[in-house]
Amino acid sequence: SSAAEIDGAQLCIFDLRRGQQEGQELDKILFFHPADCPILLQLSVIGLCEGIITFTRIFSPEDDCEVIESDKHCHVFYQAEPDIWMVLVVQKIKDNESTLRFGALQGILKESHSLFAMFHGPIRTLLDRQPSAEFARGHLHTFVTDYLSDFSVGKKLQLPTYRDSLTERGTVQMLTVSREVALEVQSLTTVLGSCLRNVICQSIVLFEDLLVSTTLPLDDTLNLYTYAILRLTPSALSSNGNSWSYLRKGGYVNADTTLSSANGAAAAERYNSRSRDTSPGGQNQMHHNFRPLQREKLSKGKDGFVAADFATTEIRGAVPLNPILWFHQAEERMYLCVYQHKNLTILLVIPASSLINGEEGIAHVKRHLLENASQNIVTVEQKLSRGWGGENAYHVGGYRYILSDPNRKVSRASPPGKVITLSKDSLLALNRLRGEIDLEKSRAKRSDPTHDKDYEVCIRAKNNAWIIAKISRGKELYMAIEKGGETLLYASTAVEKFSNRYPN
Amino acid sequence: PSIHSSFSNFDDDGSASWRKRKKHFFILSNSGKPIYSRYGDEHRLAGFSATLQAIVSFVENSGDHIKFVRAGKHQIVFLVKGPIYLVCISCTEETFEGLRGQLELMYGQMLLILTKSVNRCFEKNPKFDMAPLLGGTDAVFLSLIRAFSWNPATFLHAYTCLPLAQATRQAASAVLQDIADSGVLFALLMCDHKDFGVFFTHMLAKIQSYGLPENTYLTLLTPRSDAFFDLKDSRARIQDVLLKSNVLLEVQRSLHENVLRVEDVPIDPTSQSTSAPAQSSQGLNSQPLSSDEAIGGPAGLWHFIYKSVYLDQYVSSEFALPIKNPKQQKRLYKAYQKVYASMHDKATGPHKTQFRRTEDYGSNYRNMQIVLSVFCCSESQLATNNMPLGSRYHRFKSFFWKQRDV
Repeated sequence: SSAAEIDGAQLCIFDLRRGQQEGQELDKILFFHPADCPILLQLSVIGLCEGIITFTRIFSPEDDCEVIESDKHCHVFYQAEPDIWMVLVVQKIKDNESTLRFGALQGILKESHSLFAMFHGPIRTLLDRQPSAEFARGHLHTFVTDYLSDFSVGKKLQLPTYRDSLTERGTVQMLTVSREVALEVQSLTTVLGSCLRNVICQSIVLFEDLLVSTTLPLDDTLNLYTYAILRLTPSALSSNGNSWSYLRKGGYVNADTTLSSANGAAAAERYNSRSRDTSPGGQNQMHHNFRPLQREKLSKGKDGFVAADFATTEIRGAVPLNPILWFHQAEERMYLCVYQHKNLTILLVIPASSLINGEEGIAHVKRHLLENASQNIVTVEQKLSRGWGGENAYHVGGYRYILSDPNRKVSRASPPGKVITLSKDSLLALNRLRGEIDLEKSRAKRSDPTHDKDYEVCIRAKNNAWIIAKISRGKELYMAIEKGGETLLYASTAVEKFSNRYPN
Repeated sequence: PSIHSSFSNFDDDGSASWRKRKKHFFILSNSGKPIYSRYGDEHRLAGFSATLQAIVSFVENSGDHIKFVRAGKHQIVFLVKGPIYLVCISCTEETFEGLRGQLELMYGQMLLILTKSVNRCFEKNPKFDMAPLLGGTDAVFLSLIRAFSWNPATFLHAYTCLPLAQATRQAASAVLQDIADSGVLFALLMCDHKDFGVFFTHMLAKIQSYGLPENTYLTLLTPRSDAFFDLKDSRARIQDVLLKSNVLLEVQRSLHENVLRVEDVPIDPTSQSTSAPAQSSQGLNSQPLSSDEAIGGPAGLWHFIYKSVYLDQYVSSEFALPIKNPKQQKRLYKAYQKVYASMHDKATGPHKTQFRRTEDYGSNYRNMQIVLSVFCCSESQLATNNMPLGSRYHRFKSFFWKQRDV
């Protein structure tokens, strides 16, 4: 039977180990957006995805299926965990795949899964613990829906396009500080680390939206940093409360809406009516409506601590809750405590195993922080503010660029206010070039994972802009220069000059 | 049967040998009947064809048309032409545009053999079995497939001419013009894939002509189905003239002598000599090169292709010593193809210039660079920090094109 046309973007998450019996196919689906998509259409999308995954496995058993390109749609695949797949279906506006980049779209799937796993643990663990999949579906439904609300414009999702070709998801933006300030930050980190007797706490310090210091391993830092940028930094918090910017961001998808045809929403309903999940990893779920990505609930208290009204009980009223996060690389579960002073945000991470009595222990840590770290915090904040170049701090005149180090997961780019001055032609060419380089990088990695291949491309586009990509010793530079000389020599000199400003 | 099972219902017996092959081509009908397969006897064709058909029609049913699927280094490219589906499964790192272009050429080749009346056959009977009609044409398809890797014409969408004196070329063209009114639409004289007569833009199946040297081909095209005897007549007349005149002699000589060599490209006298050993920091070559890494032409030029956009013709040089190895040559053509596809992307192209520096040729050739501008394409090895090439190529351009008319 012919399925109705897909309208707008869709995101689905499914488990290939489930629903293998005839008539049980629905059981595969763990999440589907939009939730009100007719069941037959959901099955049709998942059927196609599963069929293509199986088909490609015949030729390519080692490499995952990545993308299906058709005239009107792009299906982007990501195997988040063994046999658990996420697929993003994007509708093309015109016949123009140059406006989308596979890497950028897959980045959304990777990011949403990483964040989910940080708060709820791996999906497979949830499924193993409860094969009926109610918790898994419930959590996925609320979490991913909240995550997607950032992309919502009206009823549609506005996903990254060529206009975002000078950004890189999955990286941290760092603040460069002078040696003097670095030492101050170091002493702050030490004080923070000792907020709990005999146990070292980890911390991340942010100034504005930039990372100043971290004591966590790389992947965990990235996850927590990403969450902070999305919801905890001063600019994130202000857009939570600011109703105008909240409206501008688009409709907020209400995950509580009863939608009878939606698998996940129905599960969320049932889940909400349960009292508690008493399993060890389920402490977050002890409270109803645990939604760390829900904007409205997050705010900064008078004591400087940022919290969310995750729990409402009859006895104590609204109680700020400190969520427990799972840190994959550190292999530990930890409490998260967020303190903010002006533009400085401190994420204090406390090993859960060391706090026997959760709430009281946290209160103690907070007191310790306020008593012992306040002075350091004020000093660091002052010094960083003084040296702060404003939002154009990383602007380099005449260049629009992004510098990225995928191995260290760090990037730096021209500020968005400057990037939008580029013409559409330049951005399209840059986007297309990045797509080509992505393919070259994957190929190089497959043939020799130990060696970072060097690569350089200079394009003089039809609008006379120079579009440049340079990969050298694992670091990547992408640039657009619109008002430049005509010759190749000019372009290469420009790249040299730029590279000299940012050695290594 | 579920959607999923119809995508994998073919017998997996020969599946292990599939994976060793780098590039498959399939042609099938929209009812799933196999028409052509490059590696025909290694698997059960019918089941696999049905799977391909299922994929295409599943997407069509949702109001869309599938273009390709990518998984790691594998690409599965689809092309639908009416009742004919063409599929390429490749792990050769070629671009999607390149592979789809190849499918278009395969379709063109098929039409050339069977004509467009195949569409009518399928209209009358959707289960029409077309495979037997292509019996005996395997060699033709294989030759075309081989050209994809070895003949830049296939991705440049241009053809190349044999260098000849003006007078000779005119004489050859005149001979073909003479038969123009005998119902012949187009005529083509070719030698070793290089034409020296009147032309048209698609590569055709070759018809060897009696009496002409073995490597010379005359192709005549007529729309009239009853023109066989007229064509025979025309062919005889052309043959006669060509044999009696100097044209064929010139052609054979040209084949052997008038090859374009990078060493022949003139060095700009005002710039410093590139054949001199180590220079100062101002110099163009800051490292002496061993005799193994012989520089071909000036600035280390190893190979070029020059395409004229207006004429859809190209000229290319011989491969310089460092890239005499066929494997390297194949990689070079692939690299050219990538650059070409990038430059001519529908949305962002055509670019004015593109410069690429890659390690693709291994650590010996660390500074392999390919520069492609609208009128000139070349590859060269340079010492580091050496970027004088931009202006040179405009000078090279006129030299290259002049070689076409010796």
